Amino acid sequence: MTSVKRKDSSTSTDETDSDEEVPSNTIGSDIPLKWYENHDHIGYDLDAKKILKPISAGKTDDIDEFLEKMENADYWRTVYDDLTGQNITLTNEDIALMQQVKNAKTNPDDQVYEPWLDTFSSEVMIHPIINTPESKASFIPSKWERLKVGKYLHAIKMGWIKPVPPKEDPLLSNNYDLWSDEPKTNLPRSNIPAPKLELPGHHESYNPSVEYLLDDAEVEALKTKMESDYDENERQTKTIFVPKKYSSLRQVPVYDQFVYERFQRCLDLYLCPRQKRLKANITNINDLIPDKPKPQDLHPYPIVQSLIYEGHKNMIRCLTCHSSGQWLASGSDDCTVRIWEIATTRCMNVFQFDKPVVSLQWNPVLSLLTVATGSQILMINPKLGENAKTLFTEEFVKQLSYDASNNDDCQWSKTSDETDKYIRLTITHPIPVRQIEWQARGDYLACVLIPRSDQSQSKSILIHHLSKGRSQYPFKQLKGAVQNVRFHPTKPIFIIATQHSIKIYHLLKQQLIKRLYVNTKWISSIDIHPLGDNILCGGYDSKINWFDLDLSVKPYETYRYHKRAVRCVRYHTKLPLFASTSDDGTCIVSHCSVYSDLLKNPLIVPVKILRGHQIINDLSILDCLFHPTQPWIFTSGADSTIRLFTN
Amino acid sequence: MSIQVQFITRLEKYSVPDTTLVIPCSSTNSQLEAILKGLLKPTVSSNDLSRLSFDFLCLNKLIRSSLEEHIREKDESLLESIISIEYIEKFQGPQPEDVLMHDDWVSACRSLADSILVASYDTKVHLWNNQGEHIISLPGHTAPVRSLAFIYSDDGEHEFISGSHDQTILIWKYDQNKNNVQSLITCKGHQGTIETLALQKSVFCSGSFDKTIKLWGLEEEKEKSSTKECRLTINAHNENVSSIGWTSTNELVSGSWDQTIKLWNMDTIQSTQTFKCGKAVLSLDISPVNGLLVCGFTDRFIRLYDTRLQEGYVLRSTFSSHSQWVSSVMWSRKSEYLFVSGSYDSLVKLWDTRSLKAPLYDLQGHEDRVLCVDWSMDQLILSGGADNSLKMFSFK
Repeated sequence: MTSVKRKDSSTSTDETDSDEEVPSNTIGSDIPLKWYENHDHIGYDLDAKKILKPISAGKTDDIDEFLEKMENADYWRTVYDDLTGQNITLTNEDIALMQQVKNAKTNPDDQVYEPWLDTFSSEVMIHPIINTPESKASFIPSKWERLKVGKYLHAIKMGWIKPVPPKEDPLLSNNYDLWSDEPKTNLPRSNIPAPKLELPGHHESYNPSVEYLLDDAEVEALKTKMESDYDENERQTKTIFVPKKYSSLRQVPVYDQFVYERFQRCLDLYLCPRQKRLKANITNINDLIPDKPKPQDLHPYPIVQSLIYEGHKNMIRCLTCHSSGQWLASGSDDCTVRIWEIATTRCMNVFQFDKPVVSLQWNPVLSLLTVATGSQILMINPKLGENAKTLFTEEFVKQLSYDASNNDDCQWSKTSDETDKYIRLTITHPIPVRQIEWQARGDYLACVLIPRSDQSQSKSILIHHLSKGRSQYPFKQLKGAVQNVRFHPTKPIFIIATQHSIKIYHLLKQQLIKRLYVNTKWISSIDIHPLGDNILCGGYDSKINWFDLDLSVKPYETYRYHKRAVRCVRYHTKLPLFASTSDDGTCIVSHCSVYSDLLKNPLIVPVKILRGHQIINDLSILDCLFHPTQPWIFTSGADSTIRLFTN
Repeated sequence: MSIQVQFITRLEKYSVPDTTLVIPCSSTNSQLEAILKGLLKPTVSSNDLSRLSFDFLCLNKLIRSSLEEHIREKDESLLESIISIEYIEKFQGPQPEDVLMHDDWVSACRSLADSILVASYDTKVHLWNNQGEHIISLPGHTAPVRSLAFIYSDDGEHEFISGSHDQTILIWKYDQNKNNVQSLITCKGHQGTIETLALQKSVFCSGSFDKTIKLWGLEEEKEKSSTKECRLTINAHNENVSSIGWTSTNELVSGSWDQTIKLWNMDTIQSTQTFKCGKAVLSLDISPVNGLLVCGFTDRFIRLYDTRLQEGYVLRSTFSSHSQWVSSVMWSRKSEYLFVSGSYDSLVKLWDTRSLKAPLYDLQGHEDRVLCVDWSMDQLILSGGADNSLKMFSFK
C-alpha cells in the first residue's frame, strides 16, 4: 500500500511526481466501477493507456483483511480508493480535517475575520484605478442603432417589412360603448369631506432624531410668527407643537393638548359647512347678456347736452318746470329762485330770499310757483304763461281766507299786488322745511319739515289745504326721519319715504296700506310712475330700487349702475323714461315700458349715461327733471348750472 | 387715370367752346379753375380773369373733393363716360359791414328797403337804417318781443308787426319824418307767447306757445289805437308752434315742438299734410324762388323738404355743420340755392343746397347764441344774438 502525499496548496503541483506514483483515472464519476470487475484494468490514464489493477486489487478476502487489521497499525486510517484501486493511508492532518467537518467545527487556524483588502480603497489615491478616456460612442448617438434603424427603414421602404398597425384594444373591440353618446359627468359629491389629519411623522415621534428637535431660538421664532401672522381669534385655534425626545416609551408623559385637538377636529368636522359652490357652466358668454332691446330701438330719449342755463352763484338744489313746457324755475343755495325761458336760456326773473331755497314746485293748476326756503313756504305768481290763468290765480288768492286758529303751528299771510309784485302767500313754520309737494289737483300741499331732536317725527309732515286755508298734521305718530313724500297721481294715496322704508297710506281711510322693504340704508328720493303702480327709490348707497306695487313689497329690480350716492330719481310724465342722478356726475336715463296687462313685468333698459356736470366737493348733480312733453331732461348741479339734454 | 369732361355754364359772358377735354381724375377745384381760365384767355381780358373765381358743379353738387371722389360717391360707372361740369361764378363771401349794439338780446330782425327793424328782449322794437344809424326805439310791449314782420317801408313811412311774450301782437304805423306813431293796433287773443309771425299781403298769421295759429287781417283801422280780434284760430299742434310761413296765397306751413311740420290749406282750414320729423322744429322758411322748405331743428341739423311732392320722400337733404340748436334759417330771395342759418353755437352759415357736406361760408363774429337771421334784402344779411348785437353782412 502506497500512501499518497497530500498536495500542499501553496506549492505548485508537480505533474511528473503524481504520474509516477499513481496515474489519475479518467473515466469520471458517472461510470460505475462494476463494469471493470471482470477486466484487469480499472480505467485509462491521461495518455489513454490502461491502468492495470494492482495485484491485490479490489476486495481482498477476509483472512488477508483480518491479518491486515491485526498487523497494520494504520489499518484504521487506510481507505480503498475505487477509482485507482489503491489503499490510501490518511495522514493526521487529513483525519483532523475530517473530524472538524464531522463536528461542524471550523479550523482553529482559520482566521474568521481576515483583514479586508480593499480593491477599491476609500483613500483617495493619486492615480485613478481606471483612466481610460470615454469613447466617443458613449456620448454620441449610437452608430449601430442608427445603422440598424436605417436597415429597418430601407426594409420598410422596399416593402419587405410592413409596419405593424397599432393593435386594437382587445377589451374594446368586442364591446359596444353604450354610453359613448352621453357626456361624461362625474357624479358630484354631495359634500366636500373635511381635510384629513396628517399622520404623525418624525416630529411626533417619542424619540425623534436630533435634527427634528427645535432649539430655543427656533421656538422663539415660532412664537413670534404666531403673534404676527394670526390675529387674536385665529390664535385661539392654533398651538405650537415642540418635538420632545425621550429615551423610552414609558417615560413619555401624557399629551396635554390631546383633548383640545380632538375637540378642534370635531368642530371642523361638524361645524364647518362644506358646500360645493355651484359654478355656472358658461359655454357661450353671449348667453349671459339679457335679451333686452337695444338702446337704438328705444328712441326718443335725451342724448346730448344742448343748453346750459348759467346765472346762479351757488349749487342748485331744486328744479321745476311749468306745465306748458316753456318756463323752468330753479332754486339755489344762493337764496334765489330764477325763472328761465327754456328755449333761449334767458333768465326771465330772479326772486331773492333770505335763506337757501330747498324745494320748489309749480302748482299744477294755478299760476303759483311755490318756494320752500328756511322755514317758510312762499307762493309766487310770476305772471308768465297764460294771461287768463294768471288773472284767475290773482282772483283766487284775493278771495282766499284762512283762520289762524285752524292752523296748528304755522302762520299764513297774504300779500297783495301793492306790497309785492309777485309774492302772494306766505306760510311760516316753526321749524325748517325740507320738501314740498303739490297734489295733482293743485289744492293740497304736503310739506316735509325737519323736526328738532326733542320733537316727535309726527310733526314732520304737514298738509296745507289751499282753498280752505287750513294746515294740519295728518300723522299722530311716525317712525323714522322722513326724506321724501309723494302724492299718488290719481288716487288719494300718500307715499312717505323715511330713511329705511317706504310707507303707503290711504288718506281717506286714514290707514297704512303697504310698507315697502328697501335694502338701502338711507333713502334719498322716491318717485311714483304717472300711472301710479310703480315706485322708484334711490338711495345713498348708489342703488335704485324699482317697486311694482302689484307684484310684491320687495323690489322688483335693483340697479347698481351708479358709482356714488343716488340723489334724485324721476319719471317722465308722458314718455316711458326714467332718470337717476348721482354724485358721480352722471345722469342715467333708462327706458321703462310698463304694460297694462298684469302678467307682463315692466321692461327696463338703461339707454344713456349723460355727463356734463362737474364734481365739486363730492357733489355733482343734485336734481333732475324731465320736460313735461319733450324727451328732454334738465339737470341741476353743484357747479351752479342747469343743463338741458335733448334728443 | 384720366377722365373726359365738358365744361358748360349758364354765364353767357364766360362761355367756352364745346370741346371734350381729357383731364386727370384727381383734379381739384383749383386745377379745374386753372384749365377754365386757360380756355377763357382768348375771350376775356386778363384783368377780369385775375379777379374772377369759379366754382364747379358736377352732378348737381358742388365739387368739394377731387373729381374722382366726387363722382365715385354718386355713381362709379360715370367715370367712363363724358362728364359735364358746370361752372358758376364764385361769389365772394359776405363781408362784415357793421355791428349795431343794443341793450339786450336781439330776438328778431327784418330789413326792408333801407330800414332795419330789430326786436329785442328789452321789450322795445328798434328801427335803424342800413347805414347803421339808429332811428328810434319804440316801446309798446310789456315783455320781450320775439318776432317781427315788415309790411311796408318807403320814404320814412314804416308799417310793421311785432309779436311778444306778453301774448299780444302790435301793428305799427310809424312815420319817421314826423317822428310819431300814427297808429298802433293791438291784437289780443293768444294765450301764450307769440313765437312767430308770417305776412301775406293783407293777412298775417301768428304762431304761439298756446299751440294755436291765428289768422289776422290787415284792414285799415279808423282809430289810432284799437284792439283787433283774430279772424281765425287753428288748433294746429300739440306743442308750441315755433315757426310758420306761407307757401302760396292760401297755403301755410307750420313747424312745431311736437316734432311735426304741417301744411294747411287756408280755404278749408284743414291740414293737408303732416311730416313727422322726430325732433322739435325751431325755425323754417320757404324759398320764394322754388318753394322748397328749409327747417332748423334741435338736433343741430338743417333739413330741406319738398312739400309739393305727394308721394315719395319729402325730405331732400340734411345739412349738418352746426354744433348746437339751429335757431333760425332764411332763404335768399333771389337765388334758389342759397340760404343762411343761425345757431346757438354763435355761427351764421351761408349754405348752397348743392353742397351738402359743408356750408359755403361761416360768418363768425357773434360771441353768444345767434337768435335770428334775416336775408330779406339780397345784399344784406343780418344776424342778431344773445350778445346784444345785430351784425350786418354785405353780400354780392
